[in-house]
Amino acid sequence: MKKNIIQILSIIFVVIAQVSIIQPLFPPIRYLNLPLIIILLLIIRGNYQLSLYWAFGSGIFLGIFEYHRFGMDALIFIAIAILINFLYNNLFTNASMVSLILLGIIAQSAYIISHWLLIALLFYAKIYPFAYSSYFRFSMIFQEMAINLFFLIAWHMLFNIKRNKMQEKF
Amino acid sequence: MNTMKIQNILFRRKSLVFIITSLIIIILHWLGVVRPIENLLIKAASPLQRIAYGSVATINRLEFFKKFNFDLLAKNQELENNYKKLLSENLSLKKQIDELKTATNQIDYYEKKNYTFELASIIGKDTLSDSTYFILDRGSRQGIKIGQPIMAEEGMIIGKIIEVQDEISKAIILLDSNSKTAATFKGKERTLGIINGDHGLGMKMELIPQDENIANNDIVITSGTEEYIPYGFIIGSVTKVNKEANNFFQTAFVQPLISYNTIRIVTILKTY
Repeated sequence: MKKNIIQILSIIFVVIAQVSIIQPLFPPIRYLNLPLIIILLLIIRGNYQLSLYWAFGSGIFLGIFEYHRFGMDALIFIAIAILINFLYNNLFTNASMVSLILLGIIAQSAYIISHWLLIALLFYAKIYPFAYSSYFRFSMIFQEMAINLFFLIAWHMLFNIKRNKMQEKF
Repeated sequence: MNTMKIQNILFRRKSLVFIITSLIIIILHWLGVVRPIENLLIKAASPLQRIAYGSVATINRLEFFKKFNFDLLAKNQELENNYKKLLSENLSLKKQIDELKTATNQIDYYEKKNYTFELASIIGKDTLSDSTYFILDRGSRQGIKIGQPIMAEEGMIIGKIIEVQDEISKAIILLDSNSKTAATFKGKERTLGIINGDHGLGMKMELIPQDENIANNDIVITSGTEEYIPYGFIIGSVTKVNKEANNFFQTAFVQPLISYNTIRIVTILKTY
């Protein structure tokens, strides 16, 4: 029970940080996708079930603050969690740095492409009023990829250092 | 092996449960059934968001971080070329802002004009590609409606409300590529046009007839032809005019007089 409350509060804090701190900052920091990085890290650390809760919770809560896109992030995050978990268990099984980078690139690409496709779909269905013409700006995609990969690798390494230190102690 | 298979099936089922639950919540959201829960979450998160956004606005105000506020658009190169020119233009524009600042404070300004307004805090931003929407802590319960203008200090329009929920609303800023606002030039009111955002970096006013004499530093104001937006609110000043001999129209590039990144409190104009 206590663990669940901590997880729910963590999701709320991460979404608040995403909406009120990261996104108002300057590029490329504002392209950082905190929930996506956490979902990836949870899968890589073998906690797929928790990653699904994070994908669902952060996606739904994020949707409240998004313009006409409620629930889109939840569906995309869950789909990415399923895809990454499948790839991690079947193709990238050695848990090396190369696997981490490739999984990060795949997750980020899946996020960008699915977002673009869903926005296009909603635009043609006349649910979303603005066309998404400028999304495939390569400079922006590059910045988005780079900043998210950087934080993914940095946090993964930090967790590993912390874990190794713990193992040394005990 | 068997346990692994069972675990796989369970996980697959769990994924499906999450997808179906998400779809149900999306439908309930559009039907308005989950609105009380959403309002509760928003109310609980708003104070924290206000503090968080406030600190970010302060960071954005720092000169050191302004250096990082770059974007790799080709348009940026063009803006860099205009930088030196803008510095000298800035002096005269700052003088105009100072005059306006000393003349009136924000509330007096709207009260004197008999406008009904609502002060709102920006509590976050929704970023999608190069589009940015402000999230404001005022919603339909405070009488906010789609199309109402949002103003920064000194009667400068910075955007329009595009979505309203009970407790919050979302606004598109004038710099956004999807933003369109009816505008004119101060002192040349017969020239009407539409001002469009330019990838979040500036604005441009297109379809201005070639015979109109538009110059740098000309002030662009609202034309008053939109339902909720009165005449005369400052949009920005002209920084460059694109006039080609073989073209029927000219284009004016416009920059706002204030930085949108440092704004924390805005005024939503309800009626005028």
